Amino acid sequence: MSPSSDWDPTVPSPNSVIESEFEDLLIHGQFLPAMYEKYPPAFCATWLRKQEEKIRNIIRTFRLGRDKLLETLPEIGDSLKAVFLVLDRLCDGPCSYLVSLPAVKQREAMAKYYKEFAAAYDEIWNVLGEYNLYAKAYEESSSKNQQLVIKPPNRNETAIQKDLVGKLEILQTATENITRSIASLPAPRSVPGSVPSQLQTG
Amino acid sequence: MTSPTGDASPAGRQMVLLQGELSSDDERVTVRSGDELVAEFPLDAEPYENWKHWLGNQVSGRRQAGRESEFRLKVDEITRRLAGDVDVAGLTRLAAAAGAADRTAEDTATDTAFIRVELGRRELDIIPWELLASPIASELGDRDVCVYRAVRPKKGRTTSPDPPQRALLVDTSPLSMESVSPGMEQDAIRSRLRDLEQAGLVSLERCADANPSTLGTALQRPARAVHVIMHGEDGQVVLSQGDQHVRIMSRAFAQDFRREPRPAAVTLSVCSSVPGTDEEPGVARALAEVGVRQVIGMYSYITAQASLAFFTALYEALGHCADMAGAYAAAVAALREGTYPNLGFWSVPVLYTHDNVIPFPGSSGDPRGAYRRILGELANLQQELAGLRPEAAWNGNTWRARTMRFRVTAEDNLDTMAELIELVRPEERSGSKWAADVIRAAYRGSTALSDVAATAESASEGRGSVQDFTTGKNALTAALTDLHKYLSARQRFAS
Repeated sequence: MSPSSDWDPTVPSPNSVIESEFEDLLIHGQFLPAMYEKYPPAFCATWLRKQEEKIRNIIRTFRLGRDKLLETLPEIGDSLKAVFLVLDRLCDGPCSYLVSLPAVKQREAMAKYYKEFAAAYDEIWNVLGEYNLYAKAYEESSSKNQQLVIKPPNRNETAIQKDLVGKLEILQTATENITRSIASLPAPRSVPGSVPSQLQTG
Repeated sequence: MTSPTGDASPAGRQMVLLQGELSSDDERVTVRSGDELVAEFPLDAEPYENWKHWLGNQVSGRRQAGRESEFRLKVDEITRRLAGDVDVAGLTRLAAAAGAADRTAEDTATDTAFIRVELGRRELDIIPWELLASPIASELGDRDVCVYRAVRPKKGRTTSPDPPQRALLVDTSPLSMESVSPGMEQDAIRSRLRDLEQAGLVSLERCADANPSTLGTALQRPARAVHVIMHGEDGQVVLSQGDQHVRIMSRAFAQDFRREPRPAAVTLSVCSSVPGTDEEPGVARALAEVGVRQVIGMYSYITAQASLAFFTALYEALGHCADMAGAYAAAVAALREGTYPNLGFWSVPVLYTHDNVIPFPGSSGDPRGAYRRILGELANLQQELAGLRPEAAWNGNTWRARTMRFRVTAEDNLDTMAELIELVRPEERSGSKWAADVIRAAYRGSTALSDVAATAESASEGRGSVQDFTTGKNALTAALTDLHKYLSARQRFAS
């Protein structure tokens, strides 16, 4: 189906406007429990599914750029930081979305999933650091026309890459579980001035 | 409508209340419904007594040639006589009016009209009021009509409806093998109550070959319902005692049932357990008078076949948590359809009920919906567990990602099992085998869950053992399967 004649791709859709507002509030630590009704769980779950897609994109970028990984890594790192920032503000701290949740059980579950997310995120940077060291050593030995000798506990490129993908998948799973926890929450009972219903569907 | 105690109020039932009185000179019977007089006739006990004995001759084998064919005529004769004395048209009008006034959307499924006869004096028990059902039903266009009796019981506590409710099956050695068949009847009752038993709501016990002493002992612990199979005659029952049989007068027999809390219901598969003598009330009335709120007895002799048919239908309905008046109506309808009036196989089963106590629990099976919620939570765990199929190729990252949900929710699931154990503990203390089974399975499940969660944690840190995980998973799955079975059985009786 083609877009209607008055559709202008340069004008942001109501969805993306409200999502930008939501992200701004989180990033600047300005989210308040009173805003929960404006950004109900169904809206948040929809927004989270987009974060999941971003993580899938990171994995895709990594896989596609294996032959020039050293050049791709900065892009991967930036994307990771962006996702981490919003997830962290969603789940951790006094101005997080999690604090506004009325259901204790889901709140606790989300906190645990976020703990898994954060642990994997930290480990990814270690792996990236390890890869950088490996790449430098590789370049050094290549410049000397020597074969790179890897001694344990150092790992070869295949092992490092496999570990990296594994940890990225942990990020993805943790985010999916956070989404599931939020999606299982009931809608707030009174939603004056809440997000229009079309924005709440995934 | 069910009260918080699981006892039903008769509100909403299509019911006509009749009050029968005997004149001060004991000669005239008057029956009123409110201010309306529906019957006034002399108390001439002879025809009813004779009819009862005539039925007795039919089943005891002392038949006279040619009288077999007279049976239906004889039954119809007594019905006609009673209908001649009572204003059937008036009762029909009252029953129709009660139906129109009380019928709600819920009631339309059960179209039975109930006629409750309150009998002030026990002399009126000799009149087979239940036979009025047939002519009134016919006038009402064959709508079901159920006539039952009400005797105001003594005040006192009735056994609580909290599970597990004890149902006691009492029998005594028969005087003759042909006339009673306790085994078949008890098997039929057991099978009709099996769902309730599997749900831990009812606990069936047998008091076999009862003598006065063993019956007294069996009734020392509260029983919700007691089913009695033994021989009886007007105002007495026959119990075995050693090699002998002893006759126990109705009032003396009822004494054991007087102890509080009393049974909610006693069903008597006992011949002639309704009529009394000049000195003794009928056995059913004696039990009603000491405070048993629902008693079923037999107006006359009853064969083993008719008794089996009647009580099978009665307990079928009780097993589906029907109240006693509804179950009685269903059982009488089944008996009438199957055996009446063929070959004199049936007496008139009579229900004495002051109110509509449900002997077995209805919605009290899961009053706050806790079992339903726990069943759902454990089903989610079972589903999550089924999806976990570790392979030797899994590394630490794979374990972390795949088992994340299981590990994160393990603590909540352990709490759920602990909650379940606390929930069924009171039932276990009351002697429920179901509750004991639930607790055992929940403990097994908790131990296995802790083990599997610990294995998954170790594996996520790179110290994985597929075999350890699989062993624990199998134990947990077995425990969850058992819990699912037990809680599903209970759910059949949740509202």
